[in-house]
Amino acid sequence: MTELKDAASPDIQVDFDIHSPDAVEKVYDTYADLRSTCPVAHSTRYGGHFVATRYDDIHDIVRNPSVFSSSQINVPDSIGQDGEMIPIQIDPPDHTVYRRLITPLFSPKRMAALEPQIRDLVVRLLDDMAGRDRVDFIEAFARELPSQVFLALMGWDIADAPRLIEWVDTMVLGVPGASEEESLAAREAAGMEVYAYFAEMIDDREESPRSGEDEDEDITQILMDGTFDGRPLTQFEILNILLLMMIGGLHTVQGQLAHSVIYLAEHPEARQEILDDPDVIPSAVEEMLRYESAICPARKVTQDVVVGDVQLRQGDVILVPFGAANRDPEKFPEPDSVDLRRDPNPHLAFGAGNHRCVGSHLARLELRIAFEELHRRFPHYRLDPSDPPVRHLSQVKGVHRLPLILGESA
Amino acid sequence: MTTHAPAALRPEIDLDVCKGHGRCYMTAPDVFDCDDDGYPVVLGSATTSAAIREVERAAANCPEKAITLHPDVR
Repeated sequence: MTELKDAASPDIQVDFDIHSPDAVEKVYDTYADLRSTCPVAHSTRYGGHFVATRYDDIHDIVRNPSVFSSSQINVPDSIGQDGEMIPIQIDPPDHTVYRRLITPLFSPKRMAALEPQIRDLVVRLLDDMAGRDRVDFIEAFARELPSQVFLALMGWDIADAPRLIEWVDTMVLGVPGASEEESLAAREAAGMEVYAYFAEMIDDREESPRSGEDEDEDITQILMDGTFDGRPLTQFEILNILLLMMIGGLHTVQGQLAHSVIYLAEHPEARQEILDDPDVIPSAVEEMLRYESAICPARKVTQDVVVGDVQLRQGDVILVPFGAANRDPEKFPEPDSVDLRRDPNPHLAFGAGNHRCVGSHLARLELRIAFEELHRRFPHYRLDPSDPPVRHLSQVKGVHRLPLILGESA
Repeated sequence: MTTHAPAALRPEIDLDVCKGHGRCYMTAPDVFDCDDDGYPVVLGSATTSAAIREVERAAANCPEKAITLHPDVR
């Protein structure tokens, strides 16, 4: 029997910093190295935390909330929220009650009804790109679409998108390269502005409610009319539900759109497959979700437990990068290659277990429509070798800038 | 002795394990539907070879491993 390692074992110590601006370009190589040498590693960053990289370990962890609590999902602990983000930082049984209210808001049927509206937003953004031979795809499209969709779902003014984008950027990324203290201060300041903005939206709605008329009933109103075990939700709860919807919905879809377009710009044969057979798009969306899975949450250990050959103790924190799970060769043959028709593809881009991304049906819809309309309109595009994309890691991997040359192929 | 693929497959979903990802009704819409909250509903057994292939794919794509397939002998 092999002896168990623990947080102090010298041979599992790694210098892994999820927020390092230098880590992003080689992160999948890093995950592959860790997976083959040390699948449950320990980093001394941010007060010390573990990092899991095998699909099966990550899958087991996220599906076992009584041992792996979501009370801490970020490393370091705060992104500037006041209290817990609901329901992602809530464990069962309360989690179940919140999800019963929130899951139906993002159901496939409700989302399918939004398809014409989302397609309209997509087409308008693409219209604005027409006639230009180069664009920053982030600025022109990837950042705009999810924020406009979010604002439309909430029933708020689409013109507020730039403010939301800036706040989310700061809360997700902190100040890259700055000290932990400086990043936390910036995140908290952004958090305060977000709560003030949400509170203003709720106040406005109290003055002119939209209850009762199905057409007008948006998520703001449903939450304001919503209950937890029979009592109305408090304003504090509503704010922390809205915060999570915003954090979960904006940066994630932006990054997924951008990562997909980078891949398709660099692989004209894959783009051609989409042009030749648009029916491959739903499967292509799943494969791009697997290939570039943005989210890397943490869990907090509630009782001593062994993962692989490592002893974790109560209070320990472990990162579970879905991007590492989804490149595990034990689960996905040739994991670093894209196969737009990969099958089976049981990826964990949206997580698994109780905290499965509640917005997954919306994200899929946005991605599918964007893939369809983008390629209908701009079948040919390529990267600009003199102005390459700028990516970032953090716990939501993404893309800051994506200069694209339209009308040409690589 | 030769083995034959079953003539029909009856899917069973463990609804305690299912989290409503929706991969099954996206993959095999003839066998699974979704309810108003996004959880799957089994419409019946897969009886054609195309439906059998679909339901096997649905089970393999489930990120929660919530689907079990039973040979349906009638």
